Amino acid sequence: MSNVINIRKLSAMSELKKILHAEDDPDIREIAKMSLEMVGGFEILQCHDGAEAVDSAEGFAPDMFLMDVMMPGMDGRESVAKLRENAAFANTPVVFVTAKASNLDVEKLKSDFNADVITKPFDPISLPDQLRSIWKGAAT
Amino acid sequence: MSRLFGFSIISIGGLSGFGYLIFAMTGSDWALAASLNVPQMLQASVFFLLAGLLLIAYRRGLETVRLREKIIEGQELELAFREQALDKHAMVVTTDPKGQILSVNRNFTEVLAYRPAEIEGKPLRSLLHKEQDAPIEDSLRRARAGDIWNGDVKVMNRKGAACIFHTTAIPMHDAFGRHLKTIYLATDMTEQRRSEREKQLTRCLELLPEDVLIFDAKTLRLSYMNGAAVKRHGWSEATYRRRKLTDILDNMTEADLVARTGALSHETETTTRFEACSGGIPMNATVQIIEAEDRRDSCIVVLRDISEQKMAEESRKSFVSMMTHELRTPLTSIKGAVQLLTAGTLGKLEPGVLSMLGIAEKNCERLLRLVNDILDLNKLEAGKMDMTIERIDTRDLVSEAILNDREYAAGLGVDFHYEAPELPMLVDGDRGRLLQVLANLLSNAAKYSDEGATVEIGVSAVDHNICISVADSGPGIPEEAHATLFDSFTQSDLPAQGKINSTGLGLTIVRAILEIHDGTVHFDTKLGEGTTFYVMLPMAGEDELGGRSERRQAA
Repeated sequence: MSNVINIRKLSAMSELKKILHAEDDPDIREIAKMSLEMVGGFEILQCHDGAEAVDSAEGFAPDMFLMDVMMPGMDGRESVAKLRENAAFANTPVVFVTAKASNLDVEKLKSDFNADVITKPFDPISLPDQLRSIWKGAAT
Repeated sequence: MSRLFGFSIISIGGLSGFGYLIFAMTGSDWALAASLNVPQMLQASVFFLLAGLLLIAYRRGLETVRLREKIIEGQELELAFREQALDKHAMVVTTDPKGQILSVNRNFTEVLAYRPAEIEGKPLRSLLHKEQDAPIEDSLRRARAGDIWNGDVKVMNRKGAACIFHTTAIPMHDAFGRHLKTIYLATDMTEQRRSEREKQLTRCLELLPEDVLIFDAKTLRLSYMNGAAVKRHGWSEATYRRRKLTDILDNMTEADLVARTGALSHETETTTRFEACSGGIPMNATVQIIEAEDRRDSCIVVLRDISEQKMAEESRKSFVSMMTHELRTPLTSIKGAVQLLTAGTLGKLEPGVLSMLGIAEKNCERLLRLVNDILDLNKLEAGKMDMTIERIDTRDLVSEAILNDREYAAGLGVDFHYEAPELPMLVDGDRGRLLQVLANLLSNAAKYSDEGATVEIGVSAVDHNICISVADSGPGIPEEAHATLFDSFTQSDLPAQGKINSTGLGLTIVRAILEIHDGTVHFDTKLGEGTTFYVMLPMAGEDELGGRSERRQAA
C-alpha cells in the first residue's frame, strides 16, 4: 500500500503517465486507446466496467482514472466511490466522461467526487492535452 | 224589535176596531153601535193593519241592508288585514302589462334600500342583476303576458349588490280577459340561498379528493380537515383540533411554515405553493390566506398527492437521459474515428480522402446539434430545464455572445457591430440559456446576411424591459413564413449561407427559453432590406436577487 502511495507521490512531481480507462462501449474504448496511446503517449489500462476498474486499480496504480459514467453493473459513480474508500486513491484525479444529461448532473458529479467532467463526444485529438491540464491542476 | 213594534201596532189597531164592532153588534147598546159608524171603524182597523205591516216590512228591509253592510264591512276588514299580513310578510310590486312599476310596498323598498319614488315608474327590468342563476327574462315576459310564474330572481339593491328573491308573478285580468297589471310577490331568500350554498360548498370541500385543511396563520393550529384529510390521518375533529400543521407535513418546522404564511397578505401575495411530504407521500401544497370570522388570519391549505406525477417525471427523466446516452455514444465513436483519421494519427491521407472525412465530421456535428436541440426543447417544453438564475448585465451578455460567434460570422464574411450603452442593463436569468438565445439569433443573422454585411446589435431599456435587438440586412422573411417562424422544423426557403448549421429548432428554442424568463421575442422584417429580431426581458427588480444566485428548475 505504501508503495502505491509513493508511486503516486513520485508521479505527482513528474508527469501524467498511467491512466486507467473504464468504458463499456468497445468502439469508444478503441478510439480512446488510440487517442491516449498514439496521440497522448500514455500508458493505459482499459476496463469493460466499473467492477473491473476497481479490481485492477491497485495492481496498475494509475495516475488518473478516466471513467465512463453509465456502465452496466457497477457504474462510474459507484466505482469511484469504491475507489475513494481506498486511501491509495483518495486523492487520485478522476475524470468522468459523460453524455451529459444536464448541467446539474455535471455539477453534482464534480462536487460529489472531487472530480472533473469531460462530455461526450470528446475530441480524441485534444483529449490528452485536456487530461494533462486537469492533472496539473490537481497536482498543484 | 221592529217586528215586535209592527206587530203591536197591527194588534192594537186591529183588536180595538174589532172590539168596538163586536161590542156594538152584541147589542148591549145598538144605538151606540150605530152611532159609531161601523165602516169608519173598519177603515181605521184596516189602516192600522196596513200601517203595521208596512212598518214590519220597512224594518225588515232596513235590517237586511244593515246586515249586508256588516258583512261587507267584515270582508273589507279581512281583506285589509290580509293585505297588511302580506305586506308584512312579503315584498309586493305591481307593474303595468309593459313591466313598468306601478307600486311597491314598504318591505320591498326597505330590503333594497330604495325610496318608493326612486323606483316607481321605472321598468322592473332595470332592477334586475346582470347575472341570474337561471334565465328569467322569458319567464318574466310570460308572466306579463298572463301566466303565473314563480322562481328565484336576483335583484340589485341600491348599492348594486345582489339579493335573491323568491318571486311569484300573478297577472291580473279584467272581465274581458284584458291584462291589467301583474302583481309580484317576493320573499328575500338571500341569506337562505347563501347558507344553502355554503352548505353545498362545505359538502364539496368534504368530498374533494385533495386534502383540505384550515389552520391559524400564526399558531398553525388546525380548525378544519376535510374528509380526505381526516381519512388519511384517521383523526376525529376533537383530535385534529389539538394538532398543528406541523403534525401533517413531514420535515417542516413551525418556523418554516410561519415564515411562509407570514409572507402572505390580503393585499399582495394571497397564495404560496410548495412541495412537501405528508406521511411520506410527496404533496403539492397550496396555501391561501383567508379572513376568519374573528378577524384572525386563517390559511387554507390544499394538499395534492403528486406521487404519480413524480413517477412520470422520473421515467421521463430516465428516458431523456437514456436517449442522450444512446444517441451520443455512437456519435462519439464516429466523430472520434473521423477526427483521428483526419489528424493523421494513422498516417497521412490523400486530399480527396480528407475532404470526404470533412463532410463526415461536419454531418456528425450537425447530428449532435440536432440531438442537443431536441433534448433542450424536450426539457423546455416539459418545464424541466435546469436553470441557474443570477443577475446579469445584458451589456456583458451581448459582448460575450458576440465574442463566441465572431469567428463563425467572420467565416461567412459577416461582421458584428455593437455599441454598449452606458448604464447597466440588468435582468435576472440563466446566463447559459440566454447566451444560447443570443447565439441562435446572431448565427441566424450572420447566415442570412450577404458577404461583407454588418449585423447591428443593440441593447436598450424600454419601459420595464430590456430590449436586445439583432438587425441583419438580409433578404427579409416572406409574409407566409411569419406565422410559423417560431415553430419546430420550419425553415425559410431562402438561400442562407452555411445552412447546414441549422436544425430548424433554433427559434423554437429561443422562444421557449425566453418564455421561462417571462420574456418575449418578435421581429420586424422587410423583404429585400433585412430583419430585426427583438428580445424583451423583464428588467431586474431593485432588491430581489441582489447578486446572490438561485438555482431552480423552470416551472
